[in-house]
Amino acid sequence: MPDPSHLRVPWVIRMNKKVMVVVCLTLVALVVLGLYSFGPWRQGQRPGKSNLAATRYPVSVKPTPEPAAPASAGGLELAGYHNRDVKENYYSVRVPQGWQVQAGKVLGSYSLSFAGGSGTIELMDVPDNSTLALYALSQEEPRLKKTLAEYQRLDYRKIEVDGNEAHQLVFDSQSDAGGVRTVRTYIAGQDCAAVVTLAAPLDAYAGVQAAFSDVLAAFHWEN
Amino acid sequence: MRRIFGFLSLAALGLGVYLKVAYDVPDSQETLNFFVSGFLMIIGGAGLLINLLWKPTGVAPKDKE
Repeated sequence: MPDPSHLRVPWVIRMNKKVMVVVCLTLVALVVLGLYSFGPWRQGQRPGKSNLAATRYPVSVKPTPEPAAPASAGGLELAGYHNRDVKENYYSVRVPQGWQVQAGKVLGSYSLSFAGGSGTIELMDVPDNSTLALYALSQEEPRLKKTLAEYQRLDYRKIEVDGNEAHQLVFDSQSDAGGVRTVRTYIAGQDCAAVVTLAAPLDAYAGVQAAFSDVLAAFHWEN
Repeated sequence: MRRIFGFLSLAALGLGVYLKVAYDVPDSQETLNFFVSGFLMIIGGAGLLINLLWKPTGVAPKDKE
């Protein structure tokens, strides 16, 4: 009859050598993973999706000097910007020459200002379990209603920008300076959506409406 | 017991691969996703390997019957 005393030996000691090797390698792999994720090796390149904490690409914040800046249909001279901040979300946009363009706070975004108005161009992550239209109406619009004074939707429509599905919200709101009309356009992309927001005071809106259309028409995903 | 261990390992491996490949990670959560998916894949893979390599050195009394 076999001696049952081995059953009382701790399980760690009863492991065979191959299993011990696997356990040791697993522990080493977990330590390496931890260091690579949160520790000193974090600086290394990270495979996978875009990393919004990456460094801003210099090209993104300089107007394009090349001939890619023809006049718009409205006769305005346009300056081109190629945004290369976020991998998989490269885009180019052209804005009238007189507009001030600055890098936004978040990578992949621009802050626009011009006589009588302002705007932003930014990237927006849309969850896989939603569509752009659903997200714009069920998440974005309620957020706008909460954050803007006297939000009033004037129009919502599905359009096409550079061959991509886009959804456009036009709304009025109140700021300290008075009424503002905003055109906010969500443009579907491969990874993120682009959100182009252009706003002008109610009395100046008619004068910049053509420029707004030109900026939208010039938007282009580069991926 | 061994089957349960194997099933849990396979589930961990599958979940890790899903998080790595198919899950749409929010932009600010990529580091966490990288760690969790890697952790699950390592644990799941090691669990499966251990499950295959494990050779019991003795037979428990209840297994004799």
